[in-house]
Amino acid sequence: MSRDRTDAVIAALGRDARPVRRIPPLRRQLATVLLLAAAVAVVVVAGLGLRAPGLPLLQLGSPFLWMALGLAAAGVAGATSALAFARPGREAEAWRALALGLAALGLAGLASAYAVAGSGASSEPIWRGAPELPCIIASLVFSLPAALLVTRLASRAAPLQRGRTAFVSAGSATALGALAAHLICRTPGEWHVVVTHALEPFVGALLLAAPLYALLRWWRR
Amino acid sequence: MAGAGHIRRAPPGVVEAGERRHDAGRSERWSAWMAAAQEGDGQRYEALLHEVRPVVQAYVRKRLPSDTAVEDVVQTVLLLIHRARHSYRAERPFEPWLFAIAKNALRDHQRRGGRRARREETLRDDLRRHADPDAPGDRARSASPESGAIARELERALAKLPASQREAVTLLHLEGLSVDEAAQRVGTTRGALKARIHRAYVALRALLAGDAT
Repeated sequence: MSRDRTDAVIAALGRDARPVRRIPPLRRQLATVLLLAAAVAVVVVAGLGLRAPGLPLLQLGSPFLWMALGLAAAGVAGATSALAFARPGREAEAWRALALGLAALGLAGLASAYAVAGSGASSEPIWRGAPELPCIIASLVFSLPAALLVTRLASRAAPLQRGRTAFVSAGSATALGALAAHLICRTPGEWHVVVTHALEPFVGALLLAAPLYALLRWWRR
Repeated sequence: MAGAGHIRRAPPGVVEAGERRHDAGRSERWSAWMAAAQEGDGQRYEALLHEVRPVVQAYVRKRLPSDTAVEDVVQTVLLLIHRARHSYRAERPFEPWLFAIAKNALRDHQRRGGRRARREETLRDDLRRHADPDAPGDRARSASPESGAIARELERALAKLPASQREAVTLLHLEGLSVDEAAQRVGTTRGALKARIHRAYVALRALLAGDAT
């Protein structure tokens, strides 16, 4: 009888109740990810220097600052979402964080586009083609430490939807990597900062999701 | 508690209410028992699983027609609880954690069931076309009386296959596993399993052609 088998399953699980190490709180895991991402950004900026002309870029209301804030918010919210997706029963929180991150990035994109349009740089090309690529590659490279860490932490929880977890992990880590790339970016053009940098998290989500999914499966074995 | 597993099917509305209805302090008790289980307390863990079981049964029964399938999913949920028990944090309510696991197990079961049904339909269509090349390949006919004869014919052909090929066909078409899952189950690579299933198809085609002539 199937019900007898269920009783047997319960008895067997009861016998197998060895002590397990509880996963740490989500906030602590998030703090670890953000510390790593911040360390990467600091090392990158210390090594390569801020985008020209340096500190004046960070003045209030500049497109550069808007985009930096948008990428930071998307990275924090995305990492929260990925870690929450890996914990059963916290999907609602994960969706909320994801929506917040996307909204923040969208608003930052709009605000910086508005600022660029008002600065007289609107005659510049919005997309320059191949010269945009080094920046995208840099954002992917700088995102790797955070991507690996988020995936590792997610694998230690219990991701019920691995594909979704991997996709959001990839996007959030690329947003954090794109922030580091944004700070040191050498590609000329005001529109580059707005368009390419805002798109990088989505490119990262598409390119890194499959390898992170494989890693998640591997680490969950 | 012992009789909790024998609750009978109730009208949908009652089950709906029963899924979320609970005695005072149940959530706190389950949280405490799960925390004890995480420390290795097998007795409390077993008590928790016994209490959780009828709740999960009611949740699944409302969404699945077959009693056997309900018990299969309930057992899967219990195993998933065991595998994910480290991910529960006692300061959070237990039920959302539990229902997230149950919902996911149910979704997996339904997805797998759908895939299996589609593959069985395709196999039957292939067989029917083989038996009568002029017959249209409409799926509505799959429930006709001839489907029993087709199934017997397929069963006989399957029995003649080498064990490894029969296992591959069974895992992919009857249990509804993906190629990756089936390869993992038999402990081989994806490529090797695909080669095995290809050889099985060739052999099945030859066997069925032989039967038809």
